[in-house]
Amino acid sequence: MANFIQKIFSREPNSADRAKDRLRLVLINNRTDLSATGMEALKDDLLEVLEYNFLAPF
Amino acid sequence: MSAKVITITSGKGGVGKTTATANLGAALASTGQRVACIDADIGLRNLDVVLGLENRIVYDLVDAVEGRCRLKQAMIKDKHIPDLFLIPSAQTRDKTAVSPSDMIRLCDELRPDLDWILIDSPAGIERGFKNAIAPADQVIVITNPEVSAVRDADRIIGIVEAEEKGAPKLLINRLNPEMVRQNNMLSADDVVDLLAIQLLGIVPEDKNVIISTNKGTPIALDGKSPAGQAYQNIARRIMGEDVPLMDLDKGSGLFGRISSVFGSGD
Repeated sequence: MANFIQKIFSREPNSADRAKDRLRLVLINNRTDLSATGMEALKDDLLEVLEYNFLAPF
Repeated sequence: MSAKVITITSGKGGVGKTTATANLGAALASTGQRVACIDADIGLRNLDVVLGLENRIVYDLVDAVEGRCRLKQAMIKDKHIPDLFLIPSAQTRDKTAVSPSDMIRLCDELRPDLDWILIDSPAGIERGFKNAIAPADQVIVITNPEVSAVRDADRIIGIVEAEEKGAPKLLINRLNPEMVRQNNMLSADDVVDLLAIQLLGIVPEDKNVIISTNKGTPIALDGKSPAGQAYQNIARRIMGEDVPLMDLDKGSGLFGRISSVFGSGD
Protein backbone atom coordinates (compact mmCIF):
# COMPACT_ATOMS: atom_id res chain seq x y z
CA MET A 1 0.00 0.00 0.00
CA ALA A 2 2.81 2.39 0.93
CA ASN A 3 4.36 1.49 -2.39
CA PHE A 4 1.14 2.32 -4.19
CA ILE A 5 0.83 5.73 -2.50
CA GLN A 6 4.45 6.47 -3.21
CA LYS A 7 3.87 5.60 -6.86
CA ILE A 8 0.97 8.03 -7.14
CA PHE A 9 2.74 10.94 -5.49
CA SER A 10 6.24 10.50 -6.84
CA ARG A 11 7.15 12.41 -9.96
CA GLU A 12 9.76 9.92 -11.02
CA PRO A 13 9.01 8.63 -14.51
CA ASN A 14 8.49 4.89 -15.01
CA SER A 15 11.52 2.83 -15.92
CA ALA A 16 10.47 2.40 -19.56
CA ASP A 17 10.57 6.19 -20.04
CA ARG A 18 13.97 6.37 -18.41
CA ALA A 19 15.22 3.53 -20.64
CA LYS A 20 13.98 5.38 -23.70
CA ASP A 21 15.60 8.68 -22.68
CA ARG A 22 18.90 7.00 -21.91
CA LEU A 23 18.85 5.07 -25.16
CA ARG A 24 18.23 8.21 -27.19
CA LEU A 25 21.55 9.61 -25.97
CA VAL A 26 23.38 6.31 -26.24
CA LEU A 27 22.26 5.84 -29.84
CA ILE A 28 23.30 9.38 -30.78
CA ASN A 29 26.70 8.42 -29.43
CA ASN A 30 26.60 5.22 -31.55
CA ARG A 31 25.74 7.05 -34.73
CA THR A 32 28.20 9.93 -34.48
CA ASP A 33 31.85 9.14 -34.82
CA LEU A 34 32.70 11.47 -31.96
CA SER A 35 35.38 10.22 -29.56
CA ALA A 36 34.85 10.33 -25.80
CA THR A 37 37.02 13.47 -25.49
CA GLY A 38 35.24 15.08 -28.44
CA MET A 39 31.91 14.38 -26.77
CA GLU A 40 33.21 15.90 -23.50
CA ALA A 41 34.39 19.01 -25.34
CA LEU A 42 30.99 19.34 -27.04
CA LYS A 43 29.25 18.97 -23.69
CA ASP A 44 31.45 21.67 -22.11
CA ASP A 45 30.80 24.03 -25.02
CA LEU A 46 27.06 23.47 -24.78
CA LEU A 47 27.06 24.07 -21.03
CA GLU A 48 29.04 27.25 -21.50
CA VAL A 49 26.55 28.59 -24.04
CA LEU A 50 23.60 27.66 -21.84
CA GLU A 51 25.21 29.26 -18.81
CA TYR A 52 25.92 32.43 -20.76
CA ASN A 53 22.37 32.77 -22.10
CA PHE A 54 20.30 31.41 -19.25
CA LEU A 55 22.32 32.10 -16.15
CA ALA A 56 20.59 30.40 -13.23
CA PRO A 57 19.14 32.86 -10.70
CA PHE A 58 20.74 31.03 -7.75
CA MET B 1 14.89 -23.34 -56.94
CA SER B 2 17.37 -20.86 -55.55
CA ALA B 3 17.43 -20.35 -51.83
CA LYS B 4 17.36 -16.98 -50.17
CA VAL B 5 19.97 -16.58 -47.43
CA ILE B 6 18.82 -14.94 -44.20
CA THR B 7 21.28 -14.21 -41.39
CA ILE B 8 20.00 -13.77 -37.84
CA THR B 9 22.23 -11.57 -35.72
CA SER B 10 22.08 -9.27 -32.68
CA GLY B 11 25.40 -7.96 -31.47
CA LYS B 12 24.63 -8.77 -27.86
CA GLY B 13 24.70 -12.39 -26.72
CA GLY B 14 21.75 -14.16 -25.14
CA VAL B 15 18.92 -12.28 -26.83
CA GLY B 16 17.65 -15.37 -28.67
CA LYS B 17 19.47 -15.67 -32.03
CA THR B 18 19.79 -19.44 -31.87
CA THR B 19 16.21 -19.97 -30.67
CA ALA B 20 14.93 -17.68 -33.42
CA THR B 21 16.99 -19.46 -36.10
CA ALA B 22 15.76 -22.90 -35.01
CA ASN B 23 12.15 -21.79 -34.79
CA LEU B 24 12.01 -19.81 -38.01
CA GLY B 25 13.65 -22.78 -39.73
CA ALA B 26 11.09 -25.15 -38.23
CA ALA B 27 8.17 -22.84 -39.03
CA LEU B 28 9.28 -22.36 -42.67
CA ALA B 29 9.97 -26.07 -43.17
CA SER B 30 6.63 -27.09 -41.62
CA THR B 31 4.89 -25.29 -44.50
CA GLY B 32 6.73 -27.54 -46.95
CA GLN B 33 9.65 -25.21 -47.73
CA ARG B 34 13.13 -26.77 -47.92
CA VAL B 35 15.30 -25.13 -45.26
CA ALA B 36 18.88 -25.43 -44.02
CA CYS B 37 19.95 -23.82 -40.76
CA ILE B 38 23.69 -23.13 -40.49
CA ASP B 39 25.32 -22.63 -37.10
CA ALA B 40 28.06 -20.05 -37.74
CA ASP B 41 29.12 -19.83 -34.10
CA ILE B 42 32.32 -21.86 -34.39
CA GLY B 43 33.66 -23.07 -31.06
CA LEU B 44 30.36 -22.48 -29.23
CA ARG B 45 27.81 -24.53 -31.11
CA ASN B 46 24.25 -24.54 -29.82
CA LEU B 47 21.80 -24.71 -32.69
CA ASP B 48 22.13 -28.53 -32.61
CA VAL B 49 20.83 -28.78 -29.03
CA VAL B 50 17.97 -26.33 -29.61
CA LEU B 51 16.85 -28.55 -32.52
CA GLY B 52 17.51 -31.73 -30.49
CA LEU B 53 20.02 -33.05 -33.05
CA GLU B 54 23.20 -33.08 -30.93
CA ASN B 55 23.50 -36.88 -31.05
CA ARG B 56 23.43 -37.07 -34.83
CA ILE B 57 26.46 -34.95 -35.65
CA VAL B 58 29.16 -36.68 -37.67
CA TYR B 59 30.60 -33.87 -39.81
CA ASP B 60 30.38 -30.12 -39.29
CA LEU B 61 30.72 -26.80 -41.10
CA VAL B 62 34.52 -26.73 -40.82
CA ASP B 63 34.80 -30.31 -42.14
CA ALA B 64 32.77 -29.27 -45.18
CA VAL B 65 34.79 -26.08 -45.74
CA GLU B 66 38.12 -27.90 -45.41
CA GLY B 67 36.99 -30.72 -47.69
CA ARG B 68 37.00 -33.57 -45.16
CA CYS B 69 33.45 -34.41 -46.24
CA ARG B 70 30.99 -33.48 -48.95
CA LEU B 71 28.63 -30.66 -48.01
CA LYS B 72 25.62 -33.02 -48.10
CA GLN B 73 27.30 -35.24 -45.49
CA ALA B 74 27.41 -32.32 -43.04
CA MET B 75 23.66 -31.75 -43.44
CA ILE B 76 21.70 -33.38 -40.64
CA LYS B 77 18.07 -34.20 -41.30
CA ASP B 78 15.66 -32.95 -38.64
CA LYS B 79 13.78 -35.43 -36.42
CA HIS B 80 10.38 -33.79 -36.75
CA ILE B 81 10.25 -32.02 -40.09
CA PRO B 82 11.39 -33.81 -43.26
CA ASP B 83 12.45 -30.65 -45.15
CA LEU B 84 14.57 -29.14 -42.38
CA PHE B 85 18.35 -29.61 -42.26
CA LEU B 86 21.10 -28.47 -39.89
CA ILE B 87 24.73 -27.78 -40.68
CA PRO B 88 26.33 -27.75 -37.22
CA SER B 89 29.37 -25.70 -36.34
CA ALA B 90 32.64 -27.18 -35.10
CA GLN B 91 33.10 -27.35 -31.36
CA THR B 92 36.88 -27.63 -31.20
CA ARG B 93 37.93 -24.93 -33.67
CA ASP B 94 37.72 -21.14 -33.68
CA LYS B 95 36.24 -18.49 -35.95
CA THR B 96 39.37 -18.20 -38.11
CA ALA B 97 38.77 -21.74 -39.45
CA VAL B 98 36.19 -20.25 -41.86
CA SER B 99 36.38 -17.09 -43.99
CA PRO B 100 33.59 -14.90 -45.40
CA SER B 101 34.36 -16.21 -48.91
CA ASP B 102 34.08 -19.81 -47.63
CA MET B 103 30.58 -18.99 -46.39
CA ILE B 104 29.59 -17.44 -49.72
CA ARG B 105 30.89 -20.49 -51.62
CA LEU B 106 29.11 -22.89 -49.27
CA CYS B 107 25.78 -21.09 -49.57
CA ASP B 108 26.09 -20.89 -53.35
CA GLU B 109 26.56 -24.66 -53.42
CA LEU B 110 23.42 -25.13 -51.29
CA ARG B 111 21.15 -22.61 -53.01
CA PRO B 112 19.90 -24.75 -55.94
CA ASP B 113 18.46 -27.46 -53.65
CA LEU B 114 16.74 -25.27 -51.07
CA ASP B 115 14.21 -22.47 -50.55
CA TRP B 116 15.79 -20.89 -47.47
CA ILE B 117 19.18 -20.87 -45.79
CA LEU B 118 19.12 -19.45 -42.27
CA ILE B 119 22.44 -18.55 -40.67
CA ASP B 120 22.75 -18.29 -36.89
CA SER B 121 25.38 -15.60 -36.27
CA PRO B 122 27.62 -15.55 -33.22
CA ALA B 123 27.42 -12.56 -30.86
CA GLY B 124 29.88 -9.72 -31.38
CA ILE B 125 31.04 -7.77 -34.42
CA GLU B 126 34.23 -9.65 -35.25
CA ARG B 127 35.20 -12.41 -37.67
CA GLY B 128 32.39 -14.83 -36.79
CA PHE B 129 29.76 -12.15 -37.39
CA LYS B 130 31.45 -11.10 -40.64
CA ASN B 131 31.40 -14.75 -41.76
CA ALA B 132 27.70 -14.99 -40.95
CA ILE B 133 26.59 -11.90 -42.86
CA ALA B 134 28.86 -12.36 -45.92
CA PRO B 135 26.43 -14.58 -47.90
CA ALA B 136 23.23 -12.91 -46.62
CA ASP B 137 20.51 -11.65 -48.97
CA GLN B 138 18.60 -10.39 -45.94
CA VAL B 139 19.64 -9.73 -42.35
CA ILE B 140 17.32 -10.04 -39.35
CA VAL B 141 18.46 -8.16 -36.27
CA ILE B 142 17.03 -9.56 -33.06
CA THR B 143 16.83 -7.60 -29.83
CA ASN B 144 15.15 -7.59 -26.44
CA PRO B 145 13.23 -4.54 -25.18
CA GLU B 146 16.13 -3.62 -22.94
CA VAL B 147 18.79 -0.87 -22.96
CA SER B 148 21.93 -2.94 -23.61
CA ALA B 149 20.36 -5.15 -26.29
CA VAL B 150 18.88 -2.16 -28.17
CA ARG B 151 22.18 -0.30 -28.05
CA ASP B 152 24.03 -3.28 -29.56
CA ALA B 153 21.27 -3.80 -32.14
CA ASP B 154 21.78 -0.21 -33.27
CA ARG B 155 25.52 -0.79 -33.71
CA ILE B 156 24.85 -3.96 -35.71
CA ILE B 157 22.30 -2.18 -37.94
CA GLY B 158 24.96 0.45 -38.73
CA ILE B 159 27.51 -2.21 -39.67
CA VAL B 160 25.05 -4.23 -41.77
CA GLU B 161 24.06 -1.08 -43.69
CA ALA B 162 27.73 -0.15 -44.19
CA GLU B 163 28.34 -3.65 -45.65
CA GLU B 164 25.63 -2.86 -48.21
CA LYS B 165 23.37 -5.70 -47.14
CA GLY B 166 20.30 -3.45 -47.35
CA ALA B 167 18.20 -2.40 -44.38
CA PRO B 168 17.92 -5.24 -41.89
CA LYS B 169 14.56 -6.22 -40.42
CA LEU B 170 13.82 -6.19 -36.71
CA LEU B 171 12.65 -9.05 -34.51
CA ILE B 172 11.81 -8.06 -30.92
CA ASN B 173 12.16 -11.06 -28.64
CA ARG B 174 11.02 -11.67 -25.06
CA LEU B 175 8.59 -8.79 -24.82
CA ASN B 176 6.54 -8.96 -21.63
CA PRO B 177 3.13 -7.35 -22.36
CA GLU B 178 2.30 -7.03 -18.65
CA MET B 179 5.49 -5.04 -17.98
CA VAL B 180 4.91 -2.88 -21.06
CA ARG B 181 1.41 -2.11 -19.75
CA GLN B 182 2.92 -1.01 -16.43
CA ASN B 183 5.32 1.17 -18.39
CA ASN B 184 8.25 -0.75 -16.97
CA MET B 185 9.46 -2.20 -20.26
CA LEU B 186 10.17 -0.52 -23.61
CA SER B 187 7.23 -1.18 -25.91
CA ALA B 188 7.64 -2.52 -29.45
CA ASP B 189 6.80 0.98 -30.72
CA ASP B 190 9.55 2.48 -28.53
CA VAL B 191 12.13 0.04 -29.91
CA VAL B 192 11.02 0.58 -33.52
CA ASP B 193 11.17 4.37 -32.96
CA LEU B 194 14.70 4.15 -31.58
CA LEU B 195 16.13 1.77 -34.18
CA ALA B 196 14.17 3.09 -37.17
CA ILE B 197 14.06 -0.15 -39.19
CA GLN B 198 11.13 -2.24 -40.35
CA LEU B 199 9.55 -4.50 -37.73
CA LEU B 200 9.32 -8.14 -38.81
CA GLY B 201 7.67 -9.41 -35.65
CA ILE B 202 7.41 -9.61 -31.88
CA VAL B 203 7.91 -12.77 -29.86
CA PRO B 204 6.41 -12.48 -26.37
CA GLU B 205 8.20 -13.81 -23.32
CA ASP B 206 6.91 -17.36 -22.90
CA LYS B 207 8.02 -20.03 -20.43
CA ASN B 208 7.16 -22.64 -23.05
CA VAL B 209 10.32 -21.62 -24.94
CA ILE B 210 12.50 -22.98 -22.12
CA ILE B 211 10.36 -26.11 -21.82
CA SER B 212 10.59 -26.84 -25.56
CA THR B 213 14.33 -26.15 -25.59
CA ASN B 214 14.72 -28.60 -22.71
CA LYS B 215 13.08 -31.23 -24.92
CA GLY B 216 14.91 -30.24 -28.10
CA THR B 217 11.63 -29.60 -29.94
CA PRO B 218 11.18 -26.19 -31.58
CA ILE B 219 8.31 -24.22 -30.03
CA ALA B 220 7.22 -23.11 -33.50
CA LEU B 221 5.65 -26.58 -33.87
CA ASP B 222 3.32 -25.73 -30.96
CA GLY B 223 0.91 -23.22 -32.46
CA LYS B 224 -1.01 -22.95 -29.17
CA SER B 225 1.84 -21.27 -27.27
CA PRO B 226 2.17 -17.49 -27.75
CA ALA B 227 5.83 -17.72 -28.82
CA GLY B 228 5.14 -20.62 -31.19
CA GLN B 229 2.32 -18.70 -32.83
CA ALA B 230 4.54 -15.62 -33.11
CA TYR B 231 7.26 -17.61 -34.90
CA GLN B 232 4.71 -19.10 -37.31
CA ASN B 233 3.45 -15.59 -38.10
CA ILE B 234 7.00 -14.29 -38.66
CA ALA B 235 7.78 -17.22 -40.98
CA ARG B 236 4.70 -16.37 -43.04
CA ARG B 237 5.83 -12.73 -43.22
CA ILE B 238 9.26 -13.89 -44.42
CA MET B 239 7.47 -15.80 -47.20
CA GLY B 240 5.80 -12.54 -48.22
CA GLU B 241 2.38 -12.94 -46.62
CA ASP B 242 0.76 -9.95 -44.96
CA VAL B 243 0.13 -11.20 -41.42
CA PRO B 244 -1.06 -8.69 -38.78
CA LEU B 245 0.84 -8.47 -35.49
CA MET B 246 -0.81 -10.66 -32.86
CA ASP B 247 -2.71 -9.16 -29.93
CA LEU B 248 -0.34 -9.60 -26.99
CA ASP B 249 -2.76 -8.15 -24.42
CA LYS B 250 -5.26 -10.95 -24.82
CA GLY B 251 -6.36 -12.51 -21.52
CA SER B 252 -3.36 -11.43 -19.49
CA GLY B 253 -4.22 -10.48 -15.93
CA LEU B 254 -7.41 -9.14 -14.41
CA PHE B 255 -6.90 -5.62 -15.68
CA GLY B 256 -6.33 -6.83 -19.23
CA ARG B 257 -9.49 -8.90 -19.10
CA ILE B 258 -11.59 -6.07 -17.67
CA SER B 259 -10.29 -3.51 -20.13
CA SER B 260 -10.85 -5.88 -23.03
CA VAL B 261 -14.49 -6.31 -21.86
CA PHE B 262 -14.92 -2.55 -22.05
CA GLY B 263 -13.13 -2.39 -25.38
CA SER B 264 -10.30 -0.22 -24.09
CA GLY B 265 -7.66 -2.91 -24.34
CA ASP B 266 -7.01 -2.20 -27.98
